[in-house]
Amino acid sequence: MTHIKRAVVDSTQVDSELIKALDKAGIAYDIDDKVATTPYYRDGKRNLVVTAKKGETLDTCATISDKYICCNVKVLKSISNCPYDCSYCFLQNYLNDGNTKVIGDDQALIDEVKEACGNEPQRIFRIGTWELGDSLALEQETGQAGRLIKAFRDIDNAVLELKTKSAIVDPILSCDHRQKTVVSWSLNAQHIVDTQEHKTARLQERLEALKKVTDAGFLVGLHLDPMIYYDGWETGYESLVKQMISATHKDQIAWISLGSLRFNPEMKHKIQANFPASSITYTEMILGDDGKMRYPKPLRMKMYRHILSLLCSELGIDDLSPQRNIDAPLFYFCMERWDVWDSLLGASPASIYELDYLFARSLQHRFFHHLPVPKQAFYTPKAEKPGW
Amino acid sequence: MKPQSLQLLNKVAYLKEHLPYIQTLASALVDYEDFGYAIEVNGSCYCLTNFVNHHPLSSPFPYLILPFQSECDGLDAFLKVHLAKQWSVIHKAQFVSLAVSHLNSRSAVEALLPYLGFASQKTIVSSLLKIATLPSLLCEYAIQKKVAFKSLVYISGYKAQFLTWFDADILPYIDPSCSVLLECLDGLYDCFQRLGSTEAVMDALEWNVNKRLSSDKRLKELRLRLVALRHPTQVRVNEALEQYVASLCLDDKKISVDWDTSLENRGFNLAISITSVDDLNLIDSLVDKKESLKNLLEKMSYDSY
Repeated sequence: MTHIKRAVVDSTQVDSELIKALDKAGIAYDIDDKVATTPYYRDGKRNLVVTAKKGETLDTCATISDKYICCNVKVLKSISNCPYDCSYCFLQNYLNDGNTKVIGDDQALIDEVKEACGNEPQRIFRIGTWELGDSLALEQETGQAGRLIKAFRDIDNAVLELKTKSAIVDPILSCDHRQKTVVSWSLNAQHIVDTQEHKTARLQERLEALKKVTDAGFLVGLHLDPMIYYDGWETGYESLVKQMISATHKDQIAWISLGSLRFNPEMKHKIQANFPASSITYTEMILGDDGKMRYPKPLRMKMYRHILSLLCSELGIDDLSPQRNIDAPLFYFCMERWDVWDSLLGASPASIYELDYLFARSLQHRFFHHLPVPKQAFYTPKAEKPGW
Repeated sequence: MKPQSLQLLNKVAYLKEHLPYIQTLASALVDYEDFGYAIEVNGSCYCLTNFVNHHPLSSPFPYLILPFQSECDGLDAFLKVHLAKQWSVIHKAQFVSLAVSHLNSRSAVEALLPYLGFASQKTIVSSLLKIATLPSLLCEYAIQKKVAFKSLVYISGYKAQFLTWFDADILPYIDPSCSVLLECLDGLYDCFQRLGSTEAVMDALEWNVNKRLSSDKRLKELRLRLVALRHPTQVRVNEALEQYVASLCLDDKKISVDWDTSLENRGFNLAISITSVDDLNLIDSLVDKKESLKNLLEKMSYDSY
């Protein structure tokens, strides 16, 4: 069943592949070049607006503070808003227009990616389509992920990441991906999926979809983010880790990330207003140096240590440090402090660029042997290179 | 809104539909002394301004007759005359609450919002309706301290049971600034939601109203207790660090150890106050404490709390 109630297409996009996909899905649409904005994010979740590409869409996943390490992944903003309704989602405090906008001109998106990757051929780029929406939630209607998988297959130094909370993988299973696409899931404990991740695929459905893409030979990514504290979190996350690892093959896991709940202080009131039954804002939190509320460090460390121990046990690995263990799935913390890395993994990347490099090194070593061994210098911006 | 005419009138009554507004919003209305404003409905004039104080019934008084929208019974003219854009948010909310039941049309009320200084949006009507339900002391506070619309939207989002309790059992005993009020409400609401009832919050806070203390001191004590209740991990870890530092027996008048009490930044600042040559010996005393200070740093990995 489609999430879409109303579709509107910009007149420049009527011949696009996306419109053919809409036709195939049996979704009627109007042609309109001036669609009114929808101020409230929820009101636009079922309005699909197919737009032309305007300006640059390739960006870096935002990092706000140098005290928290981000992974320097690139994001292709091909979609804005999401049919799902997670209580902690930042979109409720971010979008000025709640319409679900998808760029119809795939070729323009791909050209931009090719240009960026062509400008730095020595680097391996990780590029995700999940910054402002879910990579697969609307795949039955738009078919966009399938077309991007096909395009990324032929871009030597780029990997596409499709991150989702859906179970919509059937449309991409037969794609000739050549392991250039990482299909990844945002996963959470059953209790959190049930109480906070509204309208998403249930945990079991996501795990079944994870198994399907694994069987189809895709590389996969596992994101345990945001970890949320609740009574019984230890057993909830233990069960999750066991289930997710058994749903895939260790050798196909490209990366695993771990992060904890965080949000801007002003979003607290939005969450309370939009999700009055949610208790996630009432747990003890501090204001971090990046201006975001998060659990106090002792609590985060306790939660992370528990997960790390479970991951090591389930993966049969005793060291998850991306610096030391090059054969393991690349493990990283999303937006965590250097000393948290140091305490829990025994080492931390010296910069976000080093972490970016570690990803490239891991991908080349584990999957892309035909590519040259990455050199760290190519992952440091020119301005920061000594002597430049 | 240009006046249509100037007329000398005797005995100008209020439009009966306006009476609830005049009664409820009395303190916000503008008092005109030299002339009045009125609207003309079916050949009769109705007063928009207060005539009781300055208009002897026996003598004629000058009135500017204003145009108005009949769909809203002249409330547009009423708002304009009484400079409604300058009203407190509470008065604006009270007006909207009356108008929604009187006009029986949300869109008609939305159309009046620009006269109150708002964009014409249905979400603003909804927000103002919620603000209008705030308990009485909070309303008085909001009028007196000119609390902003956005802040009142936040406050009105809290559960009514919580706000009623705050209005009766907390607010009468403190006199916070607006930002401190928001901080207290936010903290108390977190605790209320965590503990499940206002009684449980009061028990956990152990904050008894001490009427011998000034409201400032009562507020200070409330805030301290609230921090402890709201941030148990942070408080516990900081207390443990303080105890450890105390156990080092440093000269606390001359040597200070400070750290980030949010616990986010690892490490500490060690400062020595040197005011005499003898104070330089304190440097040697610290050398002996090197191992203990190393332990302090290790404790600040916060991995064992």
